[in-house]
Amino acid sequence: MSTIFSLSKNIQLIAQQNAIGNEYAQGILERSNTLTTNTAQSWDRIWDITVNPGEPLWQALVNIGALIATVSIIYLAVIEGDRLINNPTWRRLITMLRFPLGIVVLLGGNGFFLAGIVRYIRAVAYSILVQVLDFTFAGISISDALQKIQNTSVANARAREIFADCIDKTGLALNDCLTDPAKTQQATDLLQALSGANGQTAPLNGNLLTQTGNFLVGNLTGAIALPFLNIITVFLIGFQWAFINGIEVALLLTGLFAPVALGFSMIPSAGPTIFAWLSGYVALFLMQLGYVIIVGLTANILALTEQAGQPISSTITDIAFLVFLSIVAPTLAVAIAKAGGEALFDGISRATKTSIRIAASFAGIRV
Amino acid sequence: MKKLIPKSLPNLQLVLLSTASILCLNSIVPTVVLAQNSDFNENPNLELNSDGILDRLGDQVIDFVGDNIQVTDFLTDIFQDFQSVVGDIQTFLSERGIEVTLGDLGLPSLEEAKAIFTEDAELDKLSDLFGSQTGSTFDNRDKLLEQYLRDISEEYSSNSALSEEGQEKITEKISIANSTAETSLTLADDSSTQDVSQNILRNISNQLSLQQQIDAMAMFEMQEDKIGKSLSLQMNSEALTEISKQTTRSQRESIAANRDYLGSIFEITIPGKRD
Repeated sequence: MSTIFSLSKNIQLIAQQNAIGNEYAQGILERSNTLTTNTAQSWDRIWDITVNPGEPLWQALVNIGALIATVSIIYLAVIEGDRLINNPTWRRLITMLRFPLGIVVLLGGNGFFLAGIVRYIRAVAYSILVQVLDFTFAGISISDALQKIQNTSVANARAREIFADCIDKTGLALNDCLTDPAKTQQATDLLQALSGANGQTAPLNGNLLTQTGNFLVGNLTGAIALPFLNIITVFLIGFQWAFINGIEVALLLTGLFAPVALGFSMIPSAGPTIFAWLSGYVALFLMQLGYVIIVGLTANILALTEQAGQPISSTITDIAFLVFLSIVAPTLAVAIAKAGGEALFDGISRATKTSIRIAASFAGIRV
Repeated sequence: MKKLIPKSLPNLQLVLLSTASILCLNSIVPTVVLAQNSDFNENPNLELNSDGILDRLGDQVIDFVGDNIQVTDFLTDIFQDFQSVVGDIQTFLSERGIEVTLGDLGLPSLEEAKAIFTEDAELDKLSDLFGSQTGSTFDNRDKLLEQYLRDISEEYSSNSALSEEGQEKITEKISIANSTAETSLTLADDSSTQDVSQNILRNISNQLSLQQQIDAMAMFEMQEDKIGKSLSLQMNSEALTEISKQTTRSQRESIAANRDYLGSIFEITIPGKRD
């Protein structure tokens, strides 16, 4: 008896320190909910502490840019000096020193102005992305549509956990399990929390939590958590995360190399390198923008389909949309950023082929 | 117990001698002895010169003291000898020269065997032989215990019932039961022809004794059953534990994969989206 008492006491203690059972799952939801916000804030912070005249990394890169600029200016003086001496004109002198002067200004003060410009471009691009997400189609914003689909996946995943012990029951026991007040209360609470203040982010009609909670036994099979399916979806989400964060890393690295590109711009033989840098920098933002538009519009299509009274099955939100989000949309976004209709069709074809190959590899078929 | 006749004498001789002595003494009480009973002589089950347990105890079964039939207490003696039923239990541990203390019943101590599995690292390698090597010592110990239980159960069931020797023992026990019942019947017949109440009472007393021995035999069988059932329960318990482990593992894997998925949904990052 005392052992049981002490065990129960220990469980209570663990529960206080670290939630158990459904509370633990709820904890995961609460902690994960802030992941996007925290990740975005972390990126902002990384930009603040790298593209900053006061930071050693930026200073080192500015020094490299300045060194390249100095070497280039000596080269320029040697090559252009003779011409200027032979044919001295103010106009030629101004043309010759136009870039070096600009570079000196931008690199001066540990690249103060350059850092400002790099971060300003990012801020402008970011504000455009936010505006795009707020675009509304038939009363649903892109942001809300994406959130609806994300919340549907959360509802499906929680349904698979809440009703997990009902899977092997039949008859009256199944009825009791599905109508267990503790389960239905959890389902209701979660659906309410996911729906937001005005219900604008409510999971799509047809989510497993609502369906199973409404005692639709036919949907119980959908509530079976298949480990291999979860592994596929985790892989797809990982791929998406890597793609988006990969673009962020590429942007940061491009931003950090601005002083070096500026230093190379001193060499007059080719076109100024800084313009090539700028086009690459902007292309990366365009890639993000393209991705947001593609994904956002597709999410809106799903939300509008549901609005028209068509329930969206869990396969679409849990698998099809994820394949689109992780493989098709990134490939298309990259192709579009590179521009050209040919590249676009090539991108679609490549994305489809990749998706088929990945799906086939999971099914154990060699394509 | 009085034994006037040496045990080494054959049973038939014993019966004849007893009969002769009774006739010679010309007893006052006209007791009908077993040898005079035609049923007794004709019934082969009552011939106590067979081999096996009956043979060993034949001369103890019935002694004739004067004109009385006395039933000896042989059954409790023979059936207390559990080891003759349990036999020699050979397990993979004994094959490796590891001896486990035997209990009063002649069965190895499971507790001691479990301790050996835990302590003897060399035994870990044995699980390879049983095709259960999973890389975990804990699992291997379980597998060793399962194998050990299987060994004991197989040996016990073979020794006590299924082997040639086991079958012979069971047949002997049935013979004893039959002969005991027959003796009791003879005594009942005898009582019906008696007109001396003292002798009838003796017969009844003997019948009661025989009945007690039959009861003892049944009790012994029950104990044997209990041993078999205990071993079977242990095996079932191990099997159930294994099934339970597999179910738990499968459920945990399923929940873990689902929770991974649940957590990863929030990793979906849309550029510019912050909530």
